[in-house]
Amino acid sequence: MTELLFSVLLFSGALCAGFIGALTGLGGGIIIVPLLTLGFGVPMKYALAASLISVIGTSSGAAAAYLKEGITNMKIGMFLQIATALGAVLGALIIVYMNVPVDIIGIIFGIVLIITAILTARKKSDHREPVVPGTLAHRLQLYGGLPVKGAMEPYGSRSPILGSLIMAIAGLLSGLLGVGGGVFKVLAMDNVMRLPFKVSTTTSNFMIGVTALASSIIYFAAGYVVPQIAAPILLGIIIGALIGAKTLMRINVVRLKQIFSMIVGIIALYMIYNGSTGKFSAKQENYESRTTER
Amino acid sequence: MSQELQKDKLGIAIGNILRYGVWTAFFLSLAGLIGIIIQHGNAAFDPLTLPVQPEKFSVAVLWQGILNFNPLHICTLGLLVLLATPLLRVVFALFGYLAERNYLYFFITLIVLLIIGISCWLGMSK
Repeated sequence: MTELLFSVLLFSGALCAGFIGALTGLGGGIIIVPLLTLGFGVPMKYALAASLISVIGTSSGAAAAYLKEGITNMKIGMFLQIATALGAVLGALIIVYMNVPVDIIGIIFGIVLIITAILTARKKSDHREPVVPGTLAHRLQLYGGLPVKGAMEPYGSRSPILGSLIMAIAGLLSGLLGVGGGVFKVLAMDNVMRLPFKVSTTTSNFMIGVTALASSIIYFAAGYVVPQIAAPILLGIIIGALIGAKTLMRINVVRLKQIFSMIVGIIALYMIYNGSTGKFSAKQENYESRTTER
Repeated sequence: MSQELQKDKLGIAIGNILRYGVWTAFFLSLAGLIGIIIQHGNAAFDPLTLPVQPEKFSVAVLWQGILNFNPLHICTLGLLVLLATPLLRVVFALFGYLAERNYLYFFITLIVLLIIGISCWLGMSK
């Protein structure tokens, strides 16, 4: 394959991934790793690195829009960021410096993808927790105000410790699998800390960029970020996500969402199948023998 | 009221950093990629020939490449700008909390920066 063809194909693939990610709410990163590893035979660590870069691109773009609306809770995001960043660094260190079998990564990826799809599809409930002075959440200033019809409606939160624990897992998955882990972040803020839904989704987006930064630095420094792979992916996913977001605003996409969620489910099963039959390592062995020959 | 206004300004400033950062990264890496394609578009690229143990990222090599307008390194610079975007956002928040005299959050933000710093150090040194 020539350089030109490779770039064009990666760009087109990332364009679709960004579009599907924005439409389904799963985020773009989740399809990049299967696309790169199974579709183009890119070695796992390089694929994870490119995926993390693309995650920073999409989350920063979306976070800019949300911040303008003023519903992102910077304090809650920053507090929880300690846990996610720690998890993310740990995850990236495990992948980069310990020889985790690639098939295992593939299987975990598939399982996490399925959980993500289910969590995204579930019915969401909106919470309004009272602000209770004296609680840990209150002392940590984990509260805020949501603009509702021109007035500020106050909201509080609960269980900052348990929330942080889930956040650490979200971070770990992000570093391990090259994804944003947004769905798990929302789970922590929405179901555990009981934040209003709008606040948890926007704050999660705000956090994803920093999480992906913490883990991608390790991949970057170790030399796994290759411009020929990461750049077309980044460019494609940004444009794809923009088109996806615009489409979401214009038309009712319930049907489309269902179809794409099904596609994501099939990709997940395909990942698990490939992992459990040793296809990833077969590719990797072939690749390792070829590179050592050179 | 003035405090509310200040907070809003901080939010808008952070929003702008994110927007400009992403687009700067976008165009730098696009320019780099176009350069790579112009130079080596017809050469073969096989992801399977990527080294198992790649060379570590080096600031000196990157700097030299940028000075020579090497498209590969321009592209890498674009990706680095992208990485710097969320980092700048955290740094901005740090000064924002300091200005608000919110020392608890100044400290929390400092910890987050420290983790990112350690991550950078671990990646470069190991």
